[in-house]
Amino acid sequence: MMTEVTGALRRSELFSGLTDEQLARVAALGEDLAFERGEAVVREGEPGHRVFVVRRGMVEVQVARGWASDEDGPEPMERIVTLGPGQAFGEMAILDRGPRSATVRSVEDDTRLFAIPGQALMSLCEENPRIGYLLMRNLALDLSFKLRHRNLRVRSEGGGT
Amino acid sequence: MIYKVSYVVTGGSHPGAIVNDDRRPRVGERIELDGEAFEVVEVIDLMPPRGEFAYVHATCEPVADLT
Repeated sequence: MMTEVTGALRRSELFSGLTDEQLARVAALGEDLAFERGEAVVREGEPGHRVFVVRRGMVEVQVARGWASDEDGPEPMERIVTLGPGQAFGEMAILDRGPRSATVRSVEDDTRLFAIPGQALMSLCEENPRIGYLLMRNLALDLSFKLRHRNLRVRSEGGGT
Repeated sequence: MIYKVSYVVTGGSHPGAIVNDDRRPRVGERIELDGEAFEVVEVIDLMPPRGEFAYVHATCEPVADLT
């Protein structure tokens, strides 16, 4: 099982540059989780304590539109992006310790995620500066990629005007 | 090489996707995201490759089906 997990983590940019030994140390921190279609992995506004890597299946990132009160019923949700195998999410709450900025749901049955406790990951980064540098660099690269994706999506919605 | 691809969909309700692929997407290719079919109409490099990863953007349009 651990070999399967490390093999999947190896294909995630988040762990690019880590040696097999370093990757095994990261893998030992987390656990494999399964979700059914439509099941929420994290919910917007809740505290966030773990970062997730998609091992199999897809997840959808959603944010609430507007600021509806409880009396108005659930807020309408806007789909932001879907993430496939190798993609990480939940990293923002680990970095800035703010609440979850989005809801993330599985869009396929038996979607497999690898969940890593943020505090344990940060402790590993502080104990091993090489791992810490690589993970922080890779997190920055991943956030940069997501921002570029978002910018391109906004541009496409402009309709060429 | 692992291709980290930003798929942006025009002309539909799909929000787009970020996925890792083993090969670079090609213009004219049909792909499937969440069970929906799309045709790739543009492919560009987003950033220079780093290590095992290449960073690619693909613009897609919905198609009726994959057949």
